[in-house]
Amino acid sequence: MRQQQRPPRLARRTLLKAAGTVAASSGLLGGVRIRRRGRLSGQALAAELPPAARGYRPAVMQAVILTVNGTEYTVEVDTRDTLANLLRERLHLTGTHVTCDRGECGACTVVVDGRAVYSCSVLAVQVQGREVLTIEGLAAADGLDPIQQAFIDCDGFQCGYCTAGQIMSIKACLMREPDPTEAEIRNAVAGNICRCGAYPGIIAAGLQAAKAQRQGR
Amino acid sequence: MPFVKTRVEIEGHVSEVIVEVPENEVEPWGKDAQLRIVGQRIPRIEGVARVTGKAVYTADVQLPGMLWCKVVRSPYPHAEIVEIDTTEAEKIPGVLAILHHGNTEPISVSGFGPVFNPVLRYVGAEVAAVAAVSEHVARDAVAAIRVTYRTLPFVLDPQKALEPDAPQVHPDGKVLGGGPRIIERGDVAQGERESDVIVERTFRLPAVHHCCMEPHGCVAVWERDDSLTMYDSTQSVVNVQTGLAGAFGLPRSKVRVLREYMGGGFGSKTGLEKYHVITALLARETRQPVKLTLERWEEIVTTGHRPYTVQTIRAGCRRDGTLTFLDLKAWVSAGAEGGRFALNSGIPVREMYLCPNVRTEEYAVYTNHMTNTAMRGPGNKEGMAPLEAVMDLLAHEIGMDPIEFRKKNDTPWGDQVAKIPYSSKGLSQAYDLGAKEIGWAGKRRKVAGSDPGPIKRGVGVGSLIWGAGGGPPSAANVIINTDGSVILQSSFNDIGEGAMTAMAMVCAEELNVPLSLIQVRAGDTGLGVFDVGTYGSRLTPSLTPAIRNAAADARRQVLQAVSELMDVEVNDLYMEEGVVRSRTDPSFAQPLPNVARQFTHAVVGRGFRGPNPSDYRVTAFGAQFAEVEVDTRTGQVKVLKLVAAHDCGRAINPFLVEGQIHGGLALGRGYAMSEERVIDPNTGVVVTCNYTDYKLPTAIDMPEQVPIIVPQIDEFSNNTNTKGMAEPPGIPTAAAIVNAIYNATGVVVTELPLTAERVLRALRTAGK
Repeated sequence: MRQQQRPPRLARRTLLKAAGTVAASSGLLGGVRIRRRGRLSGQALAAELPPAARGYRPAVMQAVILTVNGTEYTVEVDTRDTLANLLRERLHLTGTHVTCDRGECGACTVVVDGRAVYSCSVLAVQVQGREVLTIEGLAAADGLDPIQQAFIDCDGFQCGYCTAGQIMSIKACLMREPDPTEAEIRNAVAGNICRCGAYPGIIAAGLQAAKAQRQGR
Repeated sequence: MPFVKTRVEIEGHVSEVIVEVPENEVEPWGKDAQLRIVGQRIPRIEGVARVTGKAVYTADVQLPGMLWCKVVRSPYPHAEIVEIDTTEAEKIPGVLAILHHGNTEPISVSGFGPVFNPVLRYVGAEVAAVAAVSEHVARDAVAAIRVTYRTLPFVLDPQKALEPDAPQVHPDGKVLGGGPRIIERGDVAQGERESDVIVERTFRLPAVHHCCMEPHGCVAVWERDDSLTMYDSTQSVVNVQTGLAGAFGLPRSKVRVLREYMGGGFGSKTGLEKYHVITALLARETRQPVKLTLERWEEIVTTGHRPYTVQTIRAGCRRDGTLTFLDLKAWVSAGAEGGRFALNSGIPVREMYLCPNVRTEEYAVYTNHMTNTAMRGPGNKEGMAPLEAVMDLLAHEIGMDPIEFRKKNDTPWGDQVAKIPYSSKGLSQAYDLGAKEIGWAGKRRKVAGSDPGPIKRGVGVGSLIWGAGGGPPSAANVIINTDGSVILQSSFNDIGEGAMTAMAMVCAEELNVPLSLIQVRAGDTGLGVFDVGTYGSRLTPSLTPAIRNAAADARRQVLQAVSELMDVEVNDLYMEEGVVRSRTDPSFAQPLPNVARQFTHAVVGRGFRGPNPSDYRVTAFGAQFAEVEVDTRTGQVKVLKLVAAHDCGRAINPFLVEGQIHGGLALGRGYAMSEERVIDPNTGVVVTCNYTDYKLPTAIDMPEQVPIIVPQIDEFSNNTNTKGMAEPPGIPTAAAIVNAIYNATGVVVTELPLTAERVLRALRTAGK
């Protein structure tokens, strides 16, 4: 294992090159520890070729050690797996949803080392040694986090499919700013699309949760 | 059991349904009813599951041995498959099945054609499908399948497609149904002669997508007895069950379709689609569960849309404000298979206002892109913006306030020809309440575009009419178990709007038990108690009356049993908050669990939806208002405020109704301002197939929104006094914004979405 100064070329597929992807995950990429394997760069190259020119290469598996919701896991992942794949398919934490799979909608947002991150746009191998918080780990088993309670009270969702992402974005916002303005809440969820249009409830929930959290509830 | 014929109107389609008349139909609540639960602002009962990540959506279903399906799709808008070579793909370890037209029985899906059609008529059309042990391997296999195509000429524009030498898109001809659908009353030419003022405009309205956050997807499982179980993200488990049974030649009893939670539909998930059949075919071939979740680009390119339309509208009125004629010609880019909802644009022109001379001529033209599907108020939303824009132009010409002009042409008739009235109509109140909230009197520019300086403000109004009466078939069981628990059972579909909560509230109200006692079992054909689906704004006015009937039946049975068990007169007994009490003996109090424990079997109350009222049309109304600011130097438009006043009859839960209004406004704001499918004219490829290029409104785009529920019930619609509410709030938003820009600048922008470029071009063309 060796320390990388710059992120290696880790294209899962060319889709990952979207501008939004870079913006969303840049905080995580810097200085991340990667266990490099010989095949990886070849695979990255293959992903950049048009599909017809792509030759099949067998999967490269790699062990990743990370902490999710306070528990340390060692997970064998396909090097093409995203953090979202790891959470949903390996750890069966399906509360994190994938909607666009290219860093544009925010449904898959989780908190990694205190920052909101699009888990569809971070490779599983990039979270080696990181601490991940998902919707399932937000509250103790018998209760609700103030943000979750506020989402229910304010009707901050309809279908609920984007809700984990909305809540985790607000969580990250409140972690760095316990007394946010309405505009700060709006900005915190600006990268989280809700097609049901529950935005008024989401904003109200963010403000209510901030207040409840400050009052220690 | 008397059966009658009843008229059911769903999304502009009227059908006659034969329905049983319930023997024990409860009386409508009426306007003075004292209700304990219904009408309260109650948060969703399933909220905890949705905010903790515990809710299992179809995309979250993982079964032992489950395979992944991926689909090879056409890169060409019109082509024939010459050859499919799967040799390389088959060699990949973990690829278990590959299906295409050459090795699969021909199965057609109603409205979408053959599942694997060797003639491809749109980009994204299904060419082949793979089942593999992981998503990655399935993708590898898709990339390794070699397809040779012979490309054919294609056409994308509905007007060009009508030209004699245009490429032939569909074997049935150029236009769905063989020709235009013309509906007329009176004489438009006569109306023109009677007009003092005539206006004409041509509008171009974009194709827009549903963009459900949960993509279309399913998991198919064949059991050993050749029955099929499918988990599916659908607005109607019943329709998918019926469709699958037909496709595979099975009795419906051998097909079970279910789903726990559902991440949005907006009209795109109402029945069987090709992906259901493909997944089931692969599961049958491999004898393993197979899962398909569409990727976002597939979702946008292949699951339908609100169609692109070109509409030329002419209208006239007298100086006193009386409408004299309305004449609409609409060309709809219907897509490769035509679709069921391409011919709805004329509804607003025919129904919104009282007018003796009306003609609509609609062409649903076959074009080389995916077929359109229903999308929240299909057709009506497209037709409303042009109508409301010319209404404002006429009002301006005769110097009348736009709201006064609309009120003058208000209609009391549900059917203007047959003179059948509406069951209720809160349109006038909606205008008044909305106008007050937006500050119409103060903010409307008496002379459009009269603000000094380059930045101008204005307000505008848009109206709404939409058949929202619902109707049969819809049924429910209310089960009171021997442990005192209450189960509301119906295969209805909560797609995110909050039906589980609303239905539980109606059940608790009628039974007279605490809401917390009700457990809802829904979204599963295995329940055997059917509701046909959540679309067409039908669920609330269809199912709530059935639930009342079922709960009343269960309550009657409980009281009867208590009467016999405890030897008290049944007519003295009543239920209050889950306790059986006596009118004659105040000391008599038997909690439901104590009573139920003495039963030897569960009490099953049965209820179903009876016929619609024969002497009324049940229709939703509303009016929305927008305030905008236009920078006339750049064409940039800011929507400052949206007010939405809606008449939906009785609001079962105003909290949820407001949610529907917020949702409608977000869709409407997107349609007006930013959303547009763009197809490259040279290649036929949809280039807006992700959320960077296809622009959905976000939290920072949505302005202040004020939802208003017109405080009036519908005394004649059904026994809960309800009308549908799901689709209406999206319909008038674009019209209100177009008219607000007109008020601010004096220019009607006729091409949506209202990007800065289009607005600026319209302003410059008008010399402003």
